[in-house]
Parts: sequence; structure tokens; C-alpha cells
Amino acid sequence: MDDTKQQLSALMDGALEDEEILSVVDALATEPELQAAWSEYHLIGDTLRAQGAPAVEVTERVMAAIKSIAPETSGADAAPSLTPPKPHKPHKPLSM
Amino acid sequence: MLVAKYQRKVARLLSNLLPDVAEIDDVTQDAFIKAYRSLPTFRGDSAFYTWLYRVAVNAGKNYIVKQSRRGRARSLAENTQFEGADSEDKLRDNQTPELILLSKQIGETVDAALEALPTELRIALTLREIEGLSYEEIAVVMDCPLGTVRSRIFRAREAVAAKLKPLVESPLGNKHG
Repeated sequence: MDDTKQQLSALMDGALEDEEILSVVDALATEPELQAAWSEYHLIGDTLRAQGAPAVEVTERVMAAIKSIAPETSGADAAPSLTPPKPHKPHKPLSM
Repeated sequence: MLVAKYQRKVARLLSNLLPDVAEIDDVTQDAFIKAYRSLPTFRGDSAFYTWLYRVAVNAGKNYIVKQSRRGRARSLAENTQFEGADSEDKLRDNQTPELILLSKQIGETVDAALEALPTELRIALTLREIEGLSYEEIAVVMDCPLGTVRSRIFRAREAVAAKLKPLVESPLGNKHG
């Protein structure tokens, strides 16, 4: 039963392989224990999502800290930034 | 500014990871500074937020290790102001007092069960249910195989569900099924 419940958990997350889906759905239709697990798993997710996020505001603190470390990492004149760099691309050979 | 965009998500993730919520601000700040220092290692083969979550999880784990070395006691999140309180109140609209009480008990039970989970299970469930990451993204954040992600999320759900059973199997609780 634990294997099927783990498949059920993955099904809920859209992470079950296609070939497993039918057998789990069939089992779900007939097994009260699986039906209870399905309800409980959803209740857990709904409850967690209803809790919201802590009211945090650290932008100014982070910027101040970055300014203080920027000279040692980016050079004294570099403006601090927290922007993701572009992905590395392989160098293309120059065409002649 | 990426800090403004992601700080609440990072703080929410850390709030489910850290034993002491009073330190969330500090560890969130630390996570962003670590991300700044580590930007040169971001190769762009995963989404930026996935990479940032990974940095945040590592910052949270490091904090836990430091705290456990100092022998500090764990504390619950009772005094933290959560902006989601309003949405919880909205969920309670049009409910009977009994259902409101049950909803509160379910919330407290889920909180306590999540708190009691091993760290890796708590992180996996949080990333999936609250942050909505896919198994592939969680595998990147937690640096583990997909099968491990699937197993951790299942084990976390089972552990929390076991604590919920007495509530949802009551005559009143069946209304939630």
C-alpha cells in the first residue's frame, strides 16, 4: 500500500509517469485508504498555503551590506547589483 | 530589485526551515548576501529562483547547525506576524463556530507536525506545497535525485497526515473530507 500511496502523492504533484497513472487512478476509485490519503494530502497543502508569508523587509539592509562588500568583490568604483548574470555561452570560433 | 521581489518567498521558505523565527530577517538577509557573493557561480542552467532557493536553504541549514552547536532551544512561531492571517480569516467566512475551531486545530496540527519533521522532509514539502516547485526544481535546490524528492515529499505527507487523522476522522472532521 505504501508504494501506491507514494504514487498517489506523486500523481497529486503531476509527477507520475504516464504508465503508472491508470493503475493508481483505478486503485483510488476502489480503495478507501487511498481516498482518505488523497483528502489528507490535499488538506495539508491547502492548510500550508493558507498560512501566508512572514512580513519581512530586508531590502535596505541587504543593499547596505552589499555596498560594504562591493569594493572587495567588484572593485571600488563598481555599482552594487543583485542581478542574475546571463548564462554562459560557449565561445564560437571566428569564421574567416 | 531582486531582493524586493524574492525576499518574502525566501523568508517564507526559511520560516518553515528555521527553529527560531525571530532570526528569519537575519537569515534572509544572509541568504541574499551569500547569493550576491555567489552570483559568479550561477551558470544559468537552472532558473534563477531555483538557484536562489538553493542558496537560501543552505544558509538556513548553516544557521541551524550553528544554533544546534550553541545548544539553543527551538521556539515556535507563535509571536510572528504572518500576512496570511487575513486569507485564513477569509477561509473561515460563512463557517460555523465548530468548523472555525476545527480549521484552527487543523492549522495548529499541521504546523506542529511540520515542525517535528526531519529538516530534509520539511524542506521538500515546503518547496512543493508552498513554493510550488516541480520535483525537478526541488532536486536542484536540494541537490538530490528525483526519486529522493518523491520519497521525501511522500514521507512528509504521511507523517503530517498521521497527526491529522484523529481530527479529520471525527464526525465534524468528515465534513472536510
